[in-house]
Amino acid sequence: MRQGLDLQGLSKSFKGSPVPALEEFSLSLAPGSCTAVLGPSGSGKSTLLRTVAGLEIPDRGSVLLDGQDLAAVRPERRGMAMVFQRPLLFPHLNVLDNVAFAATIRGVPRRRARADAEAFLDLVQMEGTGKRVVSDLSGGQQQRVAIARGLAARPEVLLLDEPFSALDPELRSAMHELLAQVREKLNPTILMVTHDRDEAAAVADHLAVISEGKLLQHSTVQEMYTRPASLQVSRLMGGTNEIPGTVRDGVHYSALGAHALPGNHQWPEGPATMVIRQERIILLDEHSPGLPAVVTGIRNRGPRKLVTMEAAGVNLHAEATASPALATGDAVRIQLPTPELAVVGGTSEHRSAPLTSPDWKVLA
Amino acid sequence: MPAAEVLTARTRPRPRTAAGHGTKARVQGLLLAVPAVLLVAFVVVGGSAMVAAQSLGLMPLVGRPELSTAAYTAHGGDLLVGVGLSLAIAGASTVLACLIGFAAALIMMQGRWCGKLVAAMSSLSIPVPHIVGAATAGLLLADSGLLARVFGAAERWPDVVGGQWWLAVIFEYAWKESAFVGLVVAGTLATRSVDYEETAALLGAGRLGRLRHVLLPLSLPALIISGTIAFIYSFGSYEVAWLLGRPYPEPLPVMALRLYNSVTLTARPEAAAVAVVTAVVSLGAALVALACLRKIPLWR
Amino acid sequence: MLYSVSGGYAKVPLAFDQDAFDRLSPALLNELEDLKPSLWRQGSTYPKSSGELDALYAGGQVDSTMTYGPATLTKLVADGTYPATTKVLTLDEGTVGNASFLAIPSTSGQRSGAMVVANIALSEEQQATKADPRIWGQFPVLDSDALSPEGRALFEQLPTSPVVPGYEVLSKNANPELAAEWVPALDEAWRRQILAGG
Repeated sequence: MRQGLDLQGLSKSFKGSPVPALEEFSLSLAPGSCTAVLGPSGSGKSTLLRTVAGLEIPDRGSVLLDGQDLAAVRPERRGMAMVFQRPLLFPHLNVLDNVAFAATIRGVPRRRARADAEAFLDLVQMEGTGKRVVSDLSGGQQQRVAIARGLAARPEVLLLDEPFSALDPELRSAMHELLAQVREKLNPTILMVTHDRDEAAAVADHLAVISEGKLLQHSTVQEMYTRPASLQVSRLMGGTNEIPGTVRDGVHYSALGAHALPGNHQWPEGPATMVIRQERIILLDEHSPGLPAVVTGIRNRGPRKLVTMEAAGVNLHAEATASPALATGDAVRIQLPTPELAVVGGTSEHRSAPLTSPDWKVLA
Repeated sequence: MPAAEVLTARTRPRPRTAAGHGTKARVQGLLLAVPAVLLVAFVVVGGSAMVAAQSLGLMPLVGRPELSTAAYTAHGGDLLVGVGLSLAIAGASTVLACLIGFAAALIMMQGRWCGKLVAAMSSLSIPVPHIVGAATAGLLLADSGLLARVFGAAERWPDVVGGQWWLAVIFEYAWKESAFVGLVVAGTLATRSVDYEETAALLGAGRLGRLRHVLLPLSLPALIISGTIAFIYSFGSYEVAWLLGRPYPEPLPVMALRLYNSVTLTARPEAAAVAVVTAVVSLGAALVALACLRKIPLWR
Repeated sequence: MLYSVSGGYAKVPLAFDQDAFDRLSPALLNELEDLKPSLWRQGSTYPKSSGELDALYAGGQVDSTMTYGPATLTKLVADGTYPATTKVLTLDEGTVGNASFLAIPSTSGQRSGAMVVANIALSEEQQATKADPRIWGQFPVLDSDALSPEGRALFEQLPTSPVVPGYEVLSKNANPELAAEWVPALDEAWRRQILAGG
């Protein structure tokens, strides 16, 4: 019976580090789900993965797979495979024998192990490379072989530790496609660590946001963007708009006026900060209906622009297509559509403007 | 599917370094090494040629030069026995050194205090000269040595020093060379073996599986190289066998030295003949090792 | 031992000749072969040098050793290297003894200087100092009857040894040393028949 992976209250500290790498971290993964763990560097993501794999022993807490506590189970018996940021293909084996490694270890006859490995090479579209020497392959090819090698071990849980971060963007999207195929065909439970929000959104059905070893939120990808559990999550997910105010009867009151919140949720009364994704703010010309605002800065983001505005003393950010010719100092109108609004508890200290680009690498 | 196109485009191997540039750098590197190589070649080739000529009767101390193999046949039987004995001693001590050295390297890799202790002990024993090591081994292992006294086994103590099986000699070589092998192997394993071990563990390999399928193959080139160096050293050095061995049969280097130092100066060509045989066998060992290395994919 | 099995040193020509060697050596080698059961490790192997034999004696592995410098024994027994029960064994047939000698190469460019040095080395003071077991412990080469009274006094001041008997006892019935040419022949015969014969 597959019950999935259950992490209960994992804590782990390292000698010489004042901050625990993991603190009371609990997470449940449904079998066959794909969860991406997002967080800045040093937030404990990799420690989490290593603890699940059994490479680190948690100070407290337990890892349960299908209801069985894995505390006494050595890494090689956990039925998990891990793909690291570096491919780590065994240099003394050719491509095919790398993929056949798990089978060889289990004592499967060589011929069968190799035939099996061929199938997995096909799966990662590396057919015909089996006889090659590992060092002849490019980085992306090696990483695909590493994934094939992990999958050939037929793991119940596949752990991916930033497996695509060293690849260039187009190759990365190809790998996302590959991962989708793997899920379709083999359906392992996948726990993936990444610092790339777009990657997480592209491959995972669930996100877990971690910071300083603590789980901040675990939800579907969509919810993570639209219903952040806290200001911190909103910021970690790249949200930049924070409007302090108060909630009464499902309506948020602030310097921007009264905004009705989505009706499908029970919003707590009292001081609260309203958030809205910058992609969701509707930007209109100054003769349209909406809140008046003044453009204070424009930054080019490829095909789109990040527009900084001030409306009633509140700094706001909106992503606009390149078409309307906007300039700093222009007067505009903005609309904040109700379904896109969310509030998080408490008032926020005002973030100092202007905002830097919400880039994870900068955060790192 | 656009992704597939990207993938096929990527499947081609990366072009190697531009040929022109690579050749130029290689020539430059060779030129830089030339002075040292010339000097070494002069000493080694010159010395070997002299010894070979002497062994063939072309450079007698007295009398006329005359090409002959008399020096090789003078002690024909002893020479063959010497080759066998030297091979056996060097072989046994190299096998032991590789086993112990590999185990030591694995312990060093653990990185805990015992690993550091083993690493420190190995590093300390490297600069000890073999002759000091041999004297120490003698004091420790002789019939009236420290161990025999500690265990109060004066009468029952086995013939370790000067015994039939050359145990003390093999022990001394194995001890010294295992430190060397251990440090060389640990050096090659240090960089990435932990990552590979973890990867292998997560693919289901237990301790023995990792040892056999990961650590051993990864260390194999270093083991072969350091083992060959250890073998050729033990094969060609005389002082340990001379101090801890028995007078008959003689390993080749001991025989060469005895003949060279003989009161009869005309025995010098015979000493040279023994030295030539020693050198030829060592060269053969090095060639065998290179042939083994070529078969290992990791060595390329 | 060659003297002994040959019926005395008078029977062995000091200068090497192959006939004498062929005639005399079989008895010697047979005797050595017969000795094996009484030897260290039953004669299956032998120490490679007199130094090694001394070490075996010092370690209590063998009951006797050989030396050309019996005067050194006093010190070796005193500092505990050799057991206190060490005794010098003099044989009725006598022992082989030799004396160190000084030579000047025929090609020497400084003969006169070398002769001066040789004279100093042969002086009564130098010889008495050399004979002192606390310093070197080698017997003098001087004839005691020819010494000056002062020189004689110097030698009489030397301590008597509890281990080593006097020179007159040791040198009694002294046998002469064979010529150097005997050495490689005897050595090779011993190596082939006794050592290799295992």
